[in-house]
Amino acid sequence: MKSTITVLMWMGVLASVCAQVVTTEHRLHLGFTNVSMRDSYLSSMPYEGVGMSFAHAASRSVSPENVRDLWLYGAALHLGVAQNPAGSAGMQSIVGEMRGGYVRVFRLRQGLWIEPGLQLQMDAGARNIARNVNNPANMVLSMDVRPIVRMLFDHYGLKLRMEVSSPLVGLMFVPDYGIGYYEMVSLSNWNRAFHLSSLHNRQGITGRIDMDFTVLDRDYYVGFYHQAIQYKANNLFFSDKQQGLVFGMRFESLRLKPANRNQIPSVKPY
Amino acid sequence: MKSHPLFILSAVLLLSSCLQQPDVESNDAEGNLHAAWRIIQEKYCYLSYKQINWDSVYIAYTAQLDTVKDDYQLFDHMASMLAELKDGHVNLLSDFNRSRYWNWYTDYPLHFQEELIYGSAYLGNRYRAVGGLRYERIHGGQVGYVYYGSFSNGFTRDQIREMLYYFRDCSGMILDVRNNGGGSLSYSETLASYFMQTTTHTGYIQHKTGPSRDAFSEPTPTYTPTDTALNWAKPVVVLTNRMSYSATNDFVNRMKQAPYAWVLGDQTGGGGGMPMTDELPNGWLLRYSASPMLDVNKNHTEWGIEPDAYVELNSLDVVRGIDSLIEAAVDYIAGSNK
Repeated sequence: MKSTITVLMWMGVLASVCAQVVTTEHRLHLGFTNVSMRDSYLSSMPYEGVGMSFAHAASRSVSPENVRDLWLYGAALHLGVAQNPAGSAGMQSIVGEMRGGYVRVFRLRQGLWIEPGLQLQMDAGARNIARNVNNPANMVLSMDVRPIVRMLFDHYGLKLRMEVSSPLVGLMFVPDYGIGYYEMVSLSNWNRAFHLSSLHNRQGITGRIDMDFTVLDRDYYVGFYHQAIQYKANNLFFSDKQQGLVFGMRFESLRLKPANRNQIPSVKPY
Repeated sequence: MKSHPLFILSAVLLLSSCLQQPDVESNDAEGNLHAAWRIIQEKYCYLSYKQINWDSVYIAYTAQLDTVKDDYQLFDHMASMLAELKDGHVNLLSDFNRSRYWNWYTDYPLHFQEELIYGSAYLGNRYRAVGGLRYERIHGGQVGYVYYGSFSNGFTRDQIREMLYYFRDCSGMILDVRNNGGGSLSYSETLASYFMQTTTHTGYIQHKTGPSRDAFSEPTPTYTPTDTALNWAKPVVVLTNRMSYSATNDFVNRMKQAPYAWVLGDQTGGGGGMPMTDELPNGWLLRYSASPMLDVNKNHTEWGIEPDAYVELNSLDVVRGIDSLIEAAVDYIAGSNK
């Protein structure tokens, strides 16, 4: 036992001399939402149902010396199952999301931090109405630059995290008004399918508020999630709204980073 | 300078107002009728080509709505309205019925009797059957005869290779697509590719670019590739009738450009609009023609494609168990090999 402690102490000393530690905070959650979807390419009718999401979000400081600037990255998978108002057809949606960005941390007052920044988000997926034999599916594809604001309130034992982002400019896929996927895919006619997006044709907001808590030395959180996006191009209207509860866990990973690469001795055979 | 935040806020609100959700009609008889009318008005591709006054149709059918008492009557009423389009690709589907317009073939003689092709003179009862194909060598093994009854029933390349190998000593092939109501366009393209010597321009397709009835894209050329390793470079006669529809219409359009092909029989039934679907507030499905397909001269194929030679089924031949169209095809193959 004594020798183990000694070894660990020496490792710690060595690490502090040779390396710096970069901490990454990971947040992993499972969400249950209600879903409201509209896809004019597939149907004139709105669809309502339930959804599920799995998400991973991570943030780490740009460098060990600079903890005010944070890199953000993450991925999510959103699944939805919905019905038309008459209940005669179902729509399924599956959308994957990848994002990366940067925020700067400002301390407003004791226990309150605000982190504004920018994020690049890519969404890819599909919506499907199996009953539509001739046009059963439509692709979801977009890339947005999003202003993002995160807030952290940590006071009197209460730890709340809020995050809001909204698409500002980007690129999105919307099929031409009456085109079939046969013409797009088989005949490579992608004219009028990709659109520059901004507030005039794509509006949305994604927000979440989480409350962190600890059970048996492990960090968890529960939160409320809301996402709404609507966009229009080629006389087609699309919307996707989800809101619900998320349950997640928080953990940190450590990475040893050499303090100064030039100080690492190099070995030359001759 | 202080007005800047207000200006930005107003700009955002102004831009936001561009994204209003499309209205959804009410789920009652009038709302559903209007939804069906609107979908056709905005998305159907042949209103101008067929010179249909769709507004008048709406007025006429709305005026009769008070005679509609239940869903069954509403369905029939809307089916009658949609039949004004004279389009076999327009269907209304509910849990209890599927409306259809069949006059594209019921108004004409079919020049086809199934019992004739399964008679001893042709397929007999020892024919080969793979995928959707039925084939046999006829006329003393001189001609290969294939009946393909649906482009919904597929085939594989190996199956086609076996068939062409079976016909290797034949001087020509008859490809009978009478009474073939269509199916998958990809089978149409693939089957035609075995008869092309090079990748061939075989037509065009358009699509609507907006709700206005004349908003169409520029025609996109369609090509039929060639299967260089598996290729029929002998005469092939395609037999057609008024029931050769939709994907079969597309197949005939492609075969018109094949170098050794000859189309014989009656005009095809048409169905040149690639269909899409939408929904009504009561959950019924509405299928309609969305993308018109054109021939190489940019003519619509909605009303069908004329054969290279019209041949009718002779009633005296029928009594003798002979199919006049197949016999004419055999004569053509014999003549083209002289």
